[in-house]
Amino acid sequence: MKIVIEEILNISETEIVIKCRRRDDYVDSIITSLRLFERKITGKKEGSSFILTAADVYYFESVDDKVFCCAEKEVYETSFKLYEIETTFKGSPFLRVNKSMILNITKIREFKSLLNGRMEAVLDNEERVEISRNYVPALKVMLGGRAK
Amino acid sequence: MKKIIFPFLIKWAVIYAITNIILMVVTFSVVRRFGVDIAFYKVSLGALIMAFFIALSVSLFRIRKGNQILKIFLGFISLAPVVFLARFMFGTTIFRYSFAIYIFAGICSVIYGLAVITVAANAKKQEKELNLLLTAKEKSEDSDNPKE
Repeated sequence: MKIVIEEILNISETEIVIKCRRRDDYVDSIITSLRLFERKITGKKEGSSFILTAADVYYFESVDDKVFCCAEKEVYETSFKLYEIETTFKGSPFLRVNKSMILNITKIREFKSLLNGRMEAVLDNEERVEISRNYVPALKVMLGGRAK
Repeated sequence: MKKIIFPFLIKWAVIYAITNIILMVVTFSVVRRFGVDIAFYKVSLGALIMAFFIALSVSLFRIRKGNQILKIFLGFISLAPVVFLARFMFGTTIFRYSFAIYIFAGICSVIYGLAVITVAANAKKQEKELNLLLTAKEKSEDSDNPKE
């Protein structure tokens, strides 16, 4: 894929033009990824509402029937259910990695395995999250590999 | 509490089913080889308790938090009653000589050790695979997005 960036000082809004032979899944995934940056999520913290960009979110976690949205350092409560988030962000880098978590895979720095067979992902903010075995094949596919 | 008890009960049930099959084969062999009838209550009760300790061992080994070496050790320790249960179930029929109990304990240790090694090796392999995919993805993204 060739990327051309043109800097034009007098335009008011950033514009992205995709030139392709025909629109296929690959092009659609590019569009989804681009749209992800536009998507906004409302999160609550200490009684105040904040608008977050999806690209800044590290993961969504469900704890005791509440869903929290975790950014680099801050944690916000969101009114969405985990399955709603999963549907909304389908095709984007957000992937369910265990029963109670949807992770932004672009924030993964590395994977670490434990002696008891569990798998962990170390995120850019040094946080460690558990990757359930059941979701590893989907993760592999998302990272460009093949699920066995 | 529910999150701990339900998975444990499921593990116990599955292991109980497997233990029953194994013990059925062992009991049948003992009856055929030595012509000794083994009390039904001993086998059924023994299988239930044996499955409990094996499930406990697996649960301790797979626990999320805590020191990894300690978890492996605890898993091993909780397997110890299985040896005495086997002695209670089959008595002198199988454990005619005192060293037989050491041999049985040795076999249990080897099986546990092999299980730990296999699980850790599989997880390590998966970790390697995921890290390779992650690096490849990062590299391809870097080449797609050259720095201006």
